[in-house]
Amino acid sequence: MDDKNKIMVRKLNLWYTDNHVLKDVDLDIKENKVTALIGPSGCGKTTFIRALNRMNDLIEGVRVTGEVFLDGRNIYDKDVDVVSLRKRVGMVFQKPNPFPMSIFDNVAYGPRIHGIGDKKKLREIVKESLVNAALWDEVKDRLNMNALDLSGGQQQRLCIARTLAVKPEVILFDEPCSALDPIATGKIEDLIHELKKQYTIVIVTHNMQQAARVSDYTGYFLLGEMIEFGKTKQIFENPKKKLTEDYITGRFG
Amino acid sequence: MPRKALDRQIDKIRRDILEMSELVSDAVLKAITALENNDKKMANEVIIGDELIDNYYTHIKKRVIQTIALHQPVAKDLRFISISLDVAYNLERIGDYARDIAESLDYMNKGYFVLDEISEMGRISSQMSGDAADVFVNENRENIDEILKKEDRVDELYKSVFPTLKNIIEKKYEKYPDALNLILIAKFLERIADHSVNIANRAMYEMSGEEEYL
Repeated sequence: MDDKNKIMVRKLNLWYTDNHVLKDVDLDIKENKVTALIGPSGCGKTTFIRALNRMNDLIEGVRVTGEVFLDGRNIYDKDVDVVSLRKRVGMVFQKPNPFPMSIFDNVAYGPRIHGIGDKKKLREIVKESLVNAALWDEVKDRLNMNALDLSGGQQQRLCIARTLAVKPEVILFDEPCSALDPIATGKIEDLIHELKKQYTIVIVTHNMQQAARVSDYTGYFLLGEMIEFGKTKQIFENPKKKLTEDYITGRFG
Repeated sequence: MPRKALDRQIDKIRRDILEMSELVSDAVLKAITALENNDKKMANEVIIGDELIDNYYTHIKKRVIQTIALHQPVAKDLRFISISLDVAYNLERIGDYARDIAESLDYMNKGYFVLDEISEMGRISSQMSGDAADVFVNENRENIDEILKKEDRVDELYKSVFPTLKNIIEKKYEKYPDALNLILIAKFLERIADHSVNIANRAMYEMSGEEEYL
């Protein structure tokens, strides 16, 4: 594994009050690669990616031990600015969640709160983000339309554009296609393939074929533990652990 | 995930391979027996029976493609399913060689001779094809050593028939067409043994996921 590490997770443990949800997780997330996390419901995948930009901080009773290094710096250090961390590590959620405002304002929202007020600059960022999210051609003539009137697949790409607008380095996708039809899913998967040229991507998915199709690395979670991590080709051709084999072949889970 | 449906397809492929290997092993044995006894009727059964073996191959290919399309198997399931194609291909080739041996009866002179070495090669290679399919279908690793020993014996016999047949060609002019045919038959039998080793090789990959050549 010669690829460069963007994020290194070491002995990460997380509790929701007494519930031990992540157990001694070690994982290297490679730069400009897609890492897929698979595992049965409730195994800690979503909690894990939310730990990568400290989204779990917002939940009461959460306790975290261990380290998550982003470019060598532990994001759980006391002096880390969580807002800039979340700018660097963006997230796209399971259900498209555009703000109830225009397409333009949705994409411009992040840059604006990060202090960009210049209209020309904002227009450039909105266009670039929509182009990179493969949505520009479909919406360029109606940027003032309410984002909630877009189709589900378009809304999800808008959310991706909104994430791209603040120029993150890492994008976390939490089951981004589970609410989408196969065509919209195909578009998001193609997009992920394009995006990895510029960004490091982590995707949580319940769809094993999706993990196999889009990712370079795959990690299998079970009951809060990272059971097996490796190149996707290896995981799907010849997993080393029987638990992984049983899960991906549908014998368990 | 419809795991049971995939298991049913895998079971059907396993059963098809097993039935195909029984037909193939039987065809080799019948071909060599027909040659030994100049039994044209038995030889004809082998020739006609090859069509059934070919049908099995076509049928297994179709089922493999359907299973991949409908169930998207991965890991060991995928190895089993894709390697069953290799196994069926090798069995189909063995079936063709059995037919070639059966057809060679038409080219032998009246009162032709068969070397004991060739009879032995025929019996061993017939067993080998069944044993190799068993390694794959039942993941029976214990057969592997036996298959390799048999292959060594077939190679040894193959080398030994040449001086004898050369001698016959040089000294007994009237027997040279039979001797030439026997050289071909020995080659077919040696190839049958090789195809059986191929099957065992693929079966080992199916079991371990690692390429290990015998």
